[in-house]
Amino acid sequence: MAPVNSQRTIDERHTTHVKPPSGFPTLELGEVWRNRDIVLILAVRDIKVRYKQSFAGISWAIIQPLLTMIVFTAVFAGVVEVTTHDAPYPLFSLAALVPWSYFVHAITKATSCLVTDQNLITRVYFPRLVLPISAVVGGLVDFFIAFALLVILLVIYGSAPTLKILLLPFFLLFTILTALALSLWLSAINVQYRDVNNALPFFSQVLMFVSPVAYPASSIPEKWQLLYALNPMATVINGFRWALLENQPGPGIYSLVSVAVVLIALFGGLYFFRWQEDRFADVV
Amino acid sequence: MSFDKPAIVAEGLGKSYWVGGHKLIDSMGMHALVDRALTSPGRVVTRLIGQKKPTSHYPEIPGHMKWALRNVSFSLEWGEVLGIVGHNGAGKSVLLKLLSRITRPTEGHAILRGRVGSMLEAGTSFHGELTGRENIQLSGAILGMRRSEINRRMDEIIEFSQVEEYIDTPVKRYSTGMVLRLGFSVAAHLDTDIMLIDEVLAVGDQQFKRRCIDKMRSVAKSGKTILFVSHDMDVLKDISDRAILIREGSLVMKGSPEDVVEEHLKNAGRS
Repeated sequence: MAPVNSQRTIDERHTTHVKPPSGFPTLELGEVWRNRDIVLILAVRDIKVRYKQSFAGISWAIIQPLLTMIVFTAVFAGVVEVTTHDAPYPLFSLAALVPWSYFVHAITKATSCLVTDQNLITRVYFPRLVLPISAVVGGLVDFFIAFALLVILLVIYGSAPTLKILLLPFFLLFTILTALALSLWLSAINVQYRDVNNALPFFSQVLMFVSPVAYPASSIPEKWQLLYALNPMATVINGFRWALLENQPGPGIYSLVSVAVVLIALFGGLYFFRWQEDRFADVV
Repeated sequence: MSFDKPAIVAEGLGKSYWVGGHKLIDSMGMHALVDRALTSPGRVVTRLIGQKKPTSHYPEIPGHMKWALRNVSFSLEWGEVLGIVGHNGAGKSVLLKLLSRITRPTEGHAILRGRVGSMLEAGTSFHGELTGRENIQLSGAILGMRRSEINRRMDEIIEFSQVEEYIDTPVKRYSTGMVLRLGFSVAAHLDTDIMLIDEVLAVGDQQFKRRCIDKMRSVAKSGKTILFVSHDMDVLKDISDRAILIREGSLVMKGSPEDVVEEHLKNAGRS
């Protein structure tokens, strides 16, 4: 029965409890899901804004990995020789650069997202997790454009896809989760310590050297493989190469280490973010 | 859920900040922890697992605890419009920020029954590079409207804002007044049960201001519960059913809008 005195009923779900932060934070992922519209709209906003008043526009998503590939090819196929398990070096490097560019782009964007949108944080309530998630999701547009370039290159080199390509979505998902896990930590810390933003370019540069972007992971001595797998991007890149190119060594048992690292970082990051979240509006 | 319970109940709401030393910091925050971890790591651990309430004894951090708002209790029935009066810095905005969950209280609690919409400064979620239309979608979504809801009310929102001609122009080309009109227009078309409104009428020309007030009155008549902060005493008296006066973080008076405004102005004359 609808109440007689009003045409509207008040849903219990919409009751808001305002109370001090206490104890262990809860994740409230359902609330994030209900606000998925905002994730999408913010992602679209960022893409629109990034390429407005830009001559090359969205083709920057291709230009960056393409140029890096050319430089890498000149250096690592021309000057110093790197083994690629018989893959043409441009393909070998681009298969790594596409997920890598996405990863760096996503964490860079996400790290500063809470600061960039501080006018939202201090004036409107919505689950703050929406912001880093939106940054990580929004980067996928660039990923798919760059991926199209990779596909074109695969065709040019006459590299036929095998059934392994069906596993590519899992490696993409793993890339997204890796980026998100790191982003949750970096964005939350960046609210209080802007040092994160300054350290990030250096950090991602170092990370590139300890990821098999320019060289194959197989060139890492066996005794270091376990340590090497602590970097989940090693597994991501291995996975992409294995799924797309021929004769690449598949992801081994050490990949499980990467998966564990990401899951721990992701859930730790979610709780850390939620713990810090209540103070974003006060300290940003 | 029925309408026999009040729409909003606040009990003993309080918010404290740490002032001085660094910038304003929450005494529970990461900064305070890191600071202390560098000076006395042992106590940070006991603090993390031990007490949950912030306390005032942190001699290592320079500065002092400041209550921006303390011990504020009130309740609001369905469809009531409550005006909040006070000087700059009295804690009015903090109260709205607590109720809209932008920041969490240090003590006390509040219950808001129904969907809550807030307009704390119009047009702040706008992005200069996006067009008016794109910003309506963005702002509406952030304020809690569904996409279908926004699209359904798009024409209404544009018409009310009177920026039809420029609706597909980037907002950075707008005049300040146009931005505010569009911002108000989006928020005014929110269909939530409870509205928290701060200072949105302070700017804009007389004619638009009039239209805003009319709009708000019709919103109030439609059975929405409204909490309303303004420095414009005439508007406040015009719209509110009841009012509260906040002075230096404390709720010092509840009553009819006329009485509360009078008391507020009396005090303003003295200081």
